[in-house]
Amino acid sequence: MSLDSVRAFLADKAPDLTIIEMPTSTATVLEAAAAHGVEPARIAKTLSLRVNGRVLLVVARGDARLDNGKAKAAFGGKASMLGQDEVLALTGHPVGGISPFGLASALPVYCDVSLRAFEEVIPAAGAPHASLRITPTRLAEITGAQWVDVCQG
Amino acid sequence: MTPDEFRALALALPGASEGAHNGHPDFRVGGRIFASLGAPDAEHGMAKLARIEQDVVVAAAPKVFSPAAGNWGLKGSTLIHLAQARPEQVEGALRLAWRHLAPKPLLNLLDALPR
Repeated sequence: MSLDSVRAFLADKAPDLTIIEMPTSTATVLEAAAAHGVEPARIAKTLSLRVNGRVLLVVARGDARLDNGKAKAAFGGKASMLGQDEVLALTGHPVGGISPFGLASALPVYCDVSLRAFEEVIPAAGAPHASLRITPTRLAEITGAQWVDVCQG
Repeated sequence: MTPDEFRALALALPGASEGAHNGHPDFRVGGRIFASLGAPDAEHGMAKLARIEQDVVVAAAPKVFSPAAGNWGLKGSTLIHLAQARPEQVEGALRLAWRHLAPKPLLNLLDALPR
């Protein structure tokens, strides 16, 4: 299971972090924000992008929108979103639970600087009802992410 | 991932049925093959992807996905190394393949499936 892969990843990289499983859906930014009682921006969403035939993940704050110009400059080509089944085949995570942790493929992860507005953010944890709380710095550290500025604002 | 687990994921897709050709099992929707098992060997399954999908999954996960040999591979037939694949990866590839061939009335059923 996708959730198990996140558990295994955290056990190895950050055993002190706990996956929070909610009785309600956290599949969308708004649902996750309501479930955790936080503003939507604090939800860290993971975007799956294809750029020049390669796939990469960008983690950004929940209310951020990708800036096509910045993304092109940062990644060297026009970015397009992957479809839900491609995401599943490559990350092993279902839509609604897409997470930069416990990936099925060794995909490069980038963190958008928009995350730095918060001391703690809430990314998904591999299932549409699972997430965790983590500082942006640590999120980037344990996923080996590079920081980029690819969102509007 | 075992061949039986691959088979179960393929047959869970709406309207999917098992057939056979050239001595190995295949999986069809609307009578057309979207996936198979046992070719070129027992270690692999196959999903018929679009070329752009094949390019992406092969580039991102080369230990799991590879183009089939010859013209089949050039047309998108993609081998899945079962021992290396997580079930979710196989499910994603099978859903992609199924979507290309499923009759329209079945397409909406896929997104309604529990996951």
